[in-house]
Amino acid sequence: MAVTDRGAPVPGITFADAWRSFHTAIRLGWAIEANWSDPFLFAVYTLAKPLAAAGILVVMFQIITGGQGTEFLQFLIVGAALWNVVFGVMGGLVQSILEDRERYRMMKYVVVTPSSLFPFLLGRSLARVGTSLVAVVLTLGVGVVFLGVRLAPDLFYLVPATILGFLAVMSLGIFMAGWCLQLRQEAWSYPEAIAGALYLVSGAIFPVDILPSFVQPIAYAFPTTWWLEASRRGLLGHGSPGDIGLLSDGTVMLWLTVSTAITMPLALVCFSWFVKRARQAGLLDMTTGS
Amino acid sequence: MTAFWLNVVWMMAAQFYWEKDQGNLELYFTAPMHLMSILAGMAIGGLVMTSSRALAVIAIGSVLYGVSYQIEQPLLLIAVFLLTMVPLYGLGMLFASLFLLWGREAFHLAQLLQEPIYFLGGVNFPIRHLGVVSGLVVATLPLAVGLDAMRQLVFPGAASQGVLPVGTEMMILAAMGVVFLIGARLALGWLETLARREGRLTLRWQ
Repeated sequence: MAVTDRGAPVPGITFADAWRSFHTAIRLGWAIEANWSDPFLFAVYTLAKPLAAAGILVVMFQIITGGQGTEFLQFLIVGAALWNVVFGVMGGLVQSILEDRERYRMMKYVVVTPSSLFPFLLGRSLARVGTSLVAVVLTLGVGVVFLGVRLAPDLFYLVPATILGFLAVMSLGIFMAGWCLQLRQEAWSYPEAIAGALYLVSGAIFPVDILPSFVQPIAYAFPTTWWLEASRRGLLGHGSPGDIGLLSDGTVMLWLTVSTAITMPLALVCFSWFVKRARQAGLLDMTTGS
Repeated sequence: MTAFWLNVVWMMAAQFYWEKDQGNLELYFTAPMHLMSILAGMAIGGLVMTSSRALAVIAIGSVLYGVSYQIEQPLLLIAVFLLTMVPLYGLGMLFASLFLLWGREAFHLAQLLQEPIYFLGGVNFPIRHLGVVSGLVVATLPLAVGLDAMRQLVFPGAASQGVLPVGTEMMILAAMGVVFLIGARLALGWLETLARREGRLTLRWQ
């Protein structure tokens, strides 16, 4: 049954309500993500997946290059490590919203509380985002310890790049979560499919120059491309191979800022519209059985 | 082959767990048939559905990336493929009961069976490059054995990259098929007894 729109703003929705919703959702998200599993298995899962993914890339790299080209290996390891965040954020936000709608069927109860769905969703997904940060550290650790990746962090560059990049990736995740709320079937697969497509075009594992010319503008339009480039400069002290590596640090940071500044409000507006549409169309309590 | 492995993990191994969540599992248990019949039907359906995805990947790889094949023994290749599917889906049936037993950890287990298995199974590179680990993998993982055998039959000069000769790998696959299917039958029987005794059949989200 469709949930009709509220005629007027509900009094009492304050920052304190949003904050309470947010931190309660963090605890709930962590309980679902970790505590209900056997701690040992959860630790194995958290470590094994990123290590295996890094292992695949490294063995492929060794076979293809015969162990040569350490500069490209550094490019590869940083890109593969950071991409865990994109998978974590997109997967976390979308899985949270779908699990609460389809599996636990409590989305409608969240919507009728004196708070917004937005802080709840952010908090609910943070456990998975946190797990993805472990994967980043692990993959970089493997690179440094076993593969001779030399990190030369420039914190004055890395910290703002990380903050902006994280905001950009969260924005993309929020957009995806709202979008998946509209879908009836197979919405679970969308974050992986979209993150996988962005993985190819954002210069995560090969330079953007290698892409077909018609795909390159798409690559440069996404903040993820600039975030990866800025992070490489902040972590390694130099840019990627190819044209993007020739740009100055300031230019890369500027493009990261501009693309994030466009993506963030756009994603929030879209999410708001998606939620409104879901309320009108009765999608908030829909179960697809998928 | 990734498509088949994903099908085994998500549509076979995790299937009973999802069915329990949706409230269908008790219907399966009370139906006048063995659970393996249901899983076998799912396996055949999944195999057909996944084949279209696998064929699409092969077609895209051939057209876009110019991958070329040199198949001298097509019948042998088909035989190896089918022989790989038996232990692969047998393993899925075995996992189905284990996933049901492990309950809420099913999602984590399904995740755990992806990248680590891609790595150990030689999905992205010949498993020979894993060194001594490749021997252990060939003895336990049907995906790895089947892939290794099929690569030897499909790509020119790949025979020297194989861990074992194709004939030996076919025998390993046949043995794995028998072991996993018997294991799945025993595990499902045990699980059914356990589930009835402990009343777990209708406990959702556990």
